[in-house]
Amino acid sequence: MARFASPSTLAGIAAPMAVWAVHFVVLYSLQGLACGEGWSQRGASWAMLALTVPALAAITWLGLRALRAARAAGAAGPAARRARFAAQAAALCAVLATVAVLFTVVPVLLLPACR
Amino acid sequence: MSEARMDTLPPGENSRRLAALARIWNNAPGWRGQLTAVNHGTVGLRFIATGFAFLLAGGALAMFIRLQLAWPGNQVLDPERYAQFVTLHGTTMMFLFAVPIMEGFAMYLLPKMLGARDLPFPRLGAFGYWCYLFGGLFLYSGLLFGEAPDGGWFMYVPLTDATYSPGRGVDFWLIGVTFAEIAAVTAAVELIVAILLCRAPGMDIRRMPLFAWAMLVTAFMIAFGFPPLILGSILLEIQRAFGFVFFDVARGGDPLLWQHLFWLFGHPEVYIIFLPAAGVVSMVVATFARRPIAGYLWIVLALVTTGFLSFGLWVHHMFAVGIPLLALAFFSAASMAVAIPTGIQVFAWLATLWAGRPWLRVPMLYLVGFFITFVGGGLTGVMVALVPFDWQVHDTHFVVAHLHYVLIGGLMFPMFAGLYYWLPLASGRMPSESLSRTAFWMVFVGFHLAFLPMHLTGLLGMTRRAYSYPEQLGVHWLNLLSTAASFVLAAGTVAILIDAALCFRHGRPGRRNPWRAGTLEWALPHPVPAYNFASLPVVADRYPLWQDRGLAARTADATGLLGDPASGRRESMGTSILGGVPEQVIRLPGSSWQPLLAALAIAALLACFIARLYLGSVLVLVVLLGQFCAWAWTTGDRHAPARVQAGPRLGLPVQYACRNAPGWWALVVTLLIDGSLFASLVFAYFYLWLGTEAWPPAPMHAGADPTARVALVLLGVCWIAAAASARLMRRGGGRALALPLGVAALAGAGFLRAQWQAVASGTGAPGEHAYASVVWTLAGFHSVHVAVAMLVGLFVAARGQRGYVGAERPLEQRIAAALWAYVAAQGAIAWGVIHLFPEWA
Amino acid sequence: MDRRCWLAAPIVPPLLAGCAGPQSALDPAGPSAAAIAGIWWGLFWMALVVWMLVTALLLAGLRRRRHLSEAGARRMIVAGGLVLPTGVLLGLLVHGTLASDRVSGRSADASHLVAVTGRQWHWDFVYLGDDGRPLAASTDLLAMPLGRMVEFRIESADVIHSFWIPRLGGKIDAIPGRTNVLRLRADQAGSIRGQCAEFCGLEHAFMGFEVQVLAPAEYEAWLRDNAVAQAGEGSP
Repeated sequence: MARFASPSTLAGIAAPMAVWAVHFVVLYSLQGLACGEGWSQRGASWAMLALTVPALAAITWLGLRALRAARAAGAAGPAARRARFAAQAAALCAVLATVAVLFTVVPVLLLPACR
Repeated sequence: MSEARMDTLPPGENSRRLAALARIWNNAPGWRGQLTAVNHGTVGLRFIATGFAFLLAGGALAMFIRLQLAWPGNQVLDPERYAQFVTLHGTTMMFLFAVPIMEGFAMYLLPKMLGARDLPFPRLGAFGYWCYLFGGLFLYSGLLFGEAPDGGWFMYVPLTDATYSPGRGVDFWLIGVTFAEIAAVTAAVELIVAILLCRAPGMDIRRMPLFAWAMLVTAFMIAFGFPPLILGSILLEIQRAFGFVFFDVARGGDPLLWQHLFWLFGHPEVYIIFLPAAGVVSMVVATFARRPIAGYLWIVLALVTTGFLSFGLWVHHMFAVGIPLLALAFFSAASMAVAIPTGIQVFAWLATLWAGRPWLRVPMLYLVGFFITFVGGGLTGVMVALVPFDWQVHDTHFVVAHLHYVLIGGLMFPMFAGLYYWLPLASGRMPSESLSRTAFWMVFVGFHLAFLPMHLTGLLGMTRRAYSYPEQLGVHWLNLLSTAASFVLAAGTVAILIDAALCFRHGRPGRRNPWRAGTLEWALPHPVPAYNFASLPVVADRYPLWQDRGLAARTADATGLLGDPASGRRESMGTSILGGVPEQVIRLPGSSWQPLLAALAIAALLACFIARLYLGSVLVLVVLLGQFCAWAWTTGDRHAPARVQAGPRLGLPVQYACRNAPGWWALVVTLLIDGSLFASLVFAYFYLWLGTEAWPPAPMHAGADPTARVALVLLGVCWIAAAASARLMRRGGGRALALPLGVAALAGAGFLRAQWQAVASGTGAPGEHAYASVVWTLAGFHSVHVAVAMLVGLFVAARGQRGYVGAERPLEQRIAAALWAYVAAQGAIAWGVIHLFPEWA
Repeated sequence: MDRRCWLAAPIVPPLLAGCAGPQSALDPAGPSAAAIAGIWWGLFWMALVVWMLVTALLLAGLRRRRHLSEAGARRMIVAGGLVLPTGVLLGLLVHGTLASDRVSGRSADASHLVAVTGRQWHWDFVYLGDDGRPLAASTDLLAMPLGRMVEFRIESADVIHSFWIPRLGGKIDAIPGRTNVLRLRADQAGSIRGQCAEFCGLEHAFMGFEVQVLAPAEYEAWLRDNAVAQAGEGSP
């Protein structure tokens, strides 16, 4: 029985985008709270950049794990092909999720938090 | 696992089995049969026909709108009528046509494409249809009472609150749309379970048709995307009917809360509309390129990525409300990023054509229309994703042009392509070549001439939802052109529908699989049997018919998997989620009155509610609960064996004895949907908190006083008791369930009492402040869930007494225990938010 | 009138009207609208090129006799579906985000202050002095000084409206319970038009207002002509 969110499961394929989603919600909430509660704008911007690091790290880890699983998927047979397919999907998802996280972060580099 | 699974039968046995299958699966004769039908073919076609009927209604409204706008100063519609017509046009197209029509295609096609006999919850699907039909009629009935909704299809507050819309029009919208949305929610549950569990043996996730992938992602999007609107509608309705405060600034509310909730739904909604159509494109392009789709992996990823990203776009509908620039930029970024997976799909389709031997027939012609139109709409979408540009064109006809380009380009053209593609399957005949091509050109040319000018009229200052415009704007000639062209578009659309309808009677009889496609639905003969496949196919490839020429013939004989209808029940097969390995035999219900009767009861309940006959609503609710219990009581068969023979040398458990039972996964999906609804409510709480100085406002107060703590402890008791039911049942059988589930029910009742007291002690009346409204709503929402869990627990205990549930048939106990665990977790969160957060903040 | 409109006319047949108009975003009369109009033309040509490219690829694909290989198909998907959009969109995102800050007019100080109240179905303007006291008032007619940055403080008396003068810049909503700020500068004298851009009920279609852009001296004279009694002596 495959482990939950391992690269050969459906949850595993979607996991990198789930990281993007959490990162997005955290950044938007942080921006809303900082501006609504009057926290430091510079502090909020730095916090948003800092939080991007673990997000990218998690996505990279998921992607590398998926690439390893794709290589280790075995030689022939439908089960091996399926495992390789799912692992490749997870790896590709990690690439797209990285692009998505970078898109989210670009505005933080260009604008202050509460203008 | 292939030909070795075929029986050799004595002479005459095959025809006897086929006749028995037909008897078991066919609808009852006459109108009684039609009203009680639950099988996916009938219900799917019904969704499609009703969807087209609403398309015509919404289109007729649009013709009046265009006539009114054709020249400045027209008086075809007075301002009130105009407001009603634009509201109903948008609402009809978005809620009553675009989503249900693709649901109908999915319901009709997926079991055939996946190699199954039916969807896993036939009565639920039929129930969803009746709710859709009655919800749509409920919405339109407002016109009969002179109370049609007129706030625009977004229904922004405060325009739609009780002060500025004192009639019942808004209530018809809120209630009617929510009623019709039940169909979307039931479809989400049904489709996820069908696609995950009910595929043919050998169809692992790598071999699944892309339409199935698209519907899987869409169904998850519905599960997470519809609840915010359902919640928003409930909040606005209780504000209007009972004086709660959520959107009223004077008492701590915020009109923007409605916009956030609406668009949290609204943006995923348009991708819920587009992704199924993209799935259709993937199927049709492969067939007409005469090769497997290129970039299957890429398209799967694009679908999943689009599904996620679409939830990060919603504030791009609110770029002009005065939110800080960085927040806007987050949504601008995601709105641009979502064009990447869309681009991946477009280029995958183009690459398939370049790598294939393209064959231009009518379905492919409509796809050409799709490419040209949808890409145009996608490009204007990138434009409006740019914040400063949107500040000019937001709420102008530029956006009207954009949305029609993506919706007509991205939904209508692929849907028409799919209609012409699968029409030979459903009708056994070919439509008229000349009429279908003529209609295409009318639709294509009519559409572009009607909507291309709107980009310019918007830039020249013509706003949305304006019943007329000053001549000095200089947009009158363009409007006249749009109106004239829209008649061509309308005529073309009607011609397509007539062509499709006539095809069933007067089309040229065609051969099976005229497009020589490779996916399983084309294995079926005409007329399509109600049971689809006499023997379930075993697949070894993404395009089974291209890989195995004999497959169609084999599935028409009752010699293989599930070919023997000896049990007399409708049966289909469940396979493992990832690998497509046979796991269970799923027994399905036959025709039933329950779906129709339950939907009628809901209609009666809502009619009483909108008429302010609240006592009547409560009485009908009791009847409805009784109906649901009666319906649920008919599930399961205590005399069914735990294992059955699914085919030669293949014995499988029946679903109640299987860990991956459809009912279990239905619960999981339902809890995801409910969790999304709860999360939206918690979001509303924190959103209102952020906008308020004093929380709670004096003299209200909150805190974890002793009564509140008792409530929490009792909730814990519910959870522990329900969790213990598994072990007790393993030792003592079904009868042992009475104790733990009874204790849980008692503790639940105690919790309700304690929680009510705890909340009432510090919180004022809901109408005093948004704080009180949202706290009471949160507590009430959770209390309803506790009551449902109590009811379900007692129901399952009763079933245990009667022998329906036991150690070998644990499904219902698992459901009751899981439900209690969920309700307890939800309660713990609600408790923390209500009693702990205000002190901490 | 913008000459680029006429250049585009042969390509976009319905461009019969040209781009001028009292409410036209393509006929800018101020720096904010001019910047946005420039962005529009860039986007327009970019979109046209992409649209023609995809259509060409489609039509060529329908006629091809030779087959593209599997590797070639993958390259096409990566190049056209991933690399090209990512690059272009990233550039647009940076440009658009920086532009949103530029056109908001925050770089210069505002020399005039106007309080705007939207109500069903009229616009009330109160012209404030440096100390925040009302100097003048008008309804459905806005006077603006030529070449000066004006800060509008926009509120609503009832439902959501939207304050929009297309020839000067983008719009911002008037939402009950909030004050939204918009800064605009008009660089051409004369009469232009603004309109409510959020559906607000029956007469939403005609909730417009005239904008008179006056030279500074005329503007001061106009303020005196439309002066209000000081606070405590009655209300506008």
